[in-house]
Amino acid sequence: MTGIRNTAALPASPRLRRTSCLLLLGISVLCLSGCGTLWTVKRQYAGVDVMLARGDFAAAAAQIERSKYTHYRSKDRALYWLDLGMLQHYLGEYEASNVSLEKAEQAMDDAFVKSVSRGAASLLLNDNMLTYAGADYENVYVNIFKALNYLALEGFDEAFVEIRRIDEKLKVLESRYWKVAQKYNEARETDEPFRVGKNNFQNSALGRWLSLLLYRAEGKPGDARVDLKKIEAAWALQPDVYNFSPPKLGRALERPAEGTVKVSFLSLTGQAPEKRADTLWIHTEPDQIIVADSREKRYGGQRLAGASVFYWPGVEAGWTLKFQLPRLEKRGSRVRGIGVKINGQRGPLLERIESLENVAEETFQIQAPLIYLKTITRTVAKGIAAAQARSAAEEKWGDSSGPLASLLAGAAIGATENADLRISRFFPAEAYIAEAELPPGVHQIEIEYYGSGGTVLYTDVIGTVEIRDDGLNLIESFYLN
Amino acid sequence: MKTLLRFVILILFAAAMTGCATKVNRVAVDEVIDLSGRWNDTDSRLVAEQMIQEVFAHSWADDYFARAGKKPVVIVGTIRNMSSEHLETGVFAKDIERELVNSGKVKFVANAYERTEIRQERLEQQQFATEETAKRLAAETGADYMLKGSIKTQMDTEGRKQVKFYQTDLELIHIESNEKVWIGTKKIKKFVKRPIAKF
Repeated sequence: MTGIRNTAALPASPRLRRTSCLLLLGISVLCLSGCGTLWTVKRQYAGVDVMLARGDFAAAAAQIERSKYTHYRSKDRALYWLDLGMLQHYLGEYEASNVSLEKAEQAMDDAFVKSVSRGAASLLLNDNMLTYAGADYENVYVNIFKALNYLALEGFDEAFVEIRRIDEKLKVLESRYWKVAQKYNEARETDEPFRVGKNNFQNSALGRWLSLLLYRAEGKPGDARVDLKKIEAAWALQPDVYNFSPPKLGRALERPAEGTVKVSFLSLTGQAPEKRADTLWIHTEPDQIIVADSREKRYGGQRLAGASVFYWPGVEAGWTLKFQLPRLEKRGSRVRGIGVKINGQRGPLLERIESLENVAEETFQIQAPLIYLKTITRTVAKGIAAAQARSAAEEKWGDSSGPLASLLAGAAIGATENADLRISRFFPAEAYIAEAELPPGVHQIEIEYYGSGGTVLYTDVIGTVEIRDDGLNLIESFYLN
Repeated sequence: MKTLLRFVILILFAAAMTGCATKVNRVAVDEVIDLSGRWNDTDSRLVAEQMIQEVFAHSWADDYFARAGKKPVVIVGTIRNMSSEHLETGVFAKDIERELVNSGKVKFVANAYERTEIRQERLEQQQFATEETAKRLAAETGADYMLKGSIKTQMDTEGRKQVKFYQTDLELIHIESNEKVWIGTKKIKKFVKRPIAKF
């Protein structure tokens, strides 16, 4: 508190006061000119959870498409294509999904080259001004879903291209996280050094499993064995991401029994996490500190969580600070188990191979310290500018103008200091796999999703499936609940 | 006042940089234009030209001519994309075909995809064309050699710098004996440096 009192009490130089006024004026003008770009819009997602729960992907996709120009800005291009592409995947519109996901990937790639103007605006306002470059986990899983699309379209080589891209991206991430860790350690002294080995996502078991299937189908057991080793390494090296039992893949590379072929099952459940904002307001009056905090409502907007007034002798009036920080909230899944029914008979149980929400959380945690550091720096700078503006107003127009200047400055800070909550909404939370050996020919397949206590939540009737003696025989199912 | 002036100049500069309308220029088809650093038409054409030069630098075609007294018949098989980019291998296959045909040293027959349509046409001719003009069934020229291959990539990325390494492997296989009479490799290495920032 001593720091606050002393700094606020400093007489502002005329130049500093002028700069502060200009800064606040600039912020106000930007507020008026582009309010929609100052915070993350979430209205396009209203009701989609219910649509996904009842499997009405067409309605969800139509809602997202209708929102293309109303709720997604040009800077959110990657987000729009990710959202649409994922829904198109669930709809079985694999070609359209690939077009959308390719555009998403391209938009994320384009955002790699930072815009100077947007970067400057984000320093002044908030990170919502930046072009959405996608979270690291989105950048990897976009290729997994493109690979699944290509496999559904029988584009074996094209699917392989996507798998190779995943490998390349994971290598880049490994290198980038090392740099982030160094940057973070240089920025501040931490009690516990940032540990790259622990906080890392450099291997995707799901991606490796798809790669294994492709190599196995192509008759390259050596390459498939490398993938199997990498799946095992995912559990060994990334225990925070893979904090569940690994699937049993001991028979993955063994030859199927005479007269049968391998059939692979992939089930996707739940919904990936979303970002919500936690807000902390600090306002000072003579000898008083007012602290208020609020939490974000489901589709945007804040709900006041609590407010307190502290009597603190010596505190100067005129400080208004708003800290809004993003928080990743897992949405999980109600599914506790998944089983396959083949021709009416119970088949294998599916085992979890990937928690996409764990990956999202892990990669978010790596970026979070830098986001927090940037937010705090920006907020304090705005707070100093607001205090100087109040001081300047009082000097020029008398003491009575101080509260009004403070109020205006507070409003400007409140409007501009918003956390960047953009994240794609339609990735699943978990991925499960299983394998069976079946004779080539026609089979009836059903996938049952069990809740707690073993109750059947949903049965995905895949129907008649032709199992071929060549190719991959991958059956995909999903229940996003 | 000075600050305001600077601000106005900055805005005008930004407006000038962004441009006003889409601009289109016609360019020569063999002009080298690299935008993203990905595999493009220039890579496809250059690799095809150099590979074909290499294929005829070896004596297999002359050996065949000396032995059989006729030009060898070649067919282009699958050129697999084993890279991490969605390459249009069809364009590359066509470039190879063109270079082979234009060399005059070999005869060339339609590939598997093209054959299907031609065979259908020949079948229909038996029913709908006059006897004099209908083409005979089972009179195709069988290929002696098949050209197969793959394109592979290796990427090394560090920040905004990327080294892209493309390797094209082609093999000429005698269809009857499975003998590989020629194996060629062409490598392309590209260094791509992305800009630090845009306006």
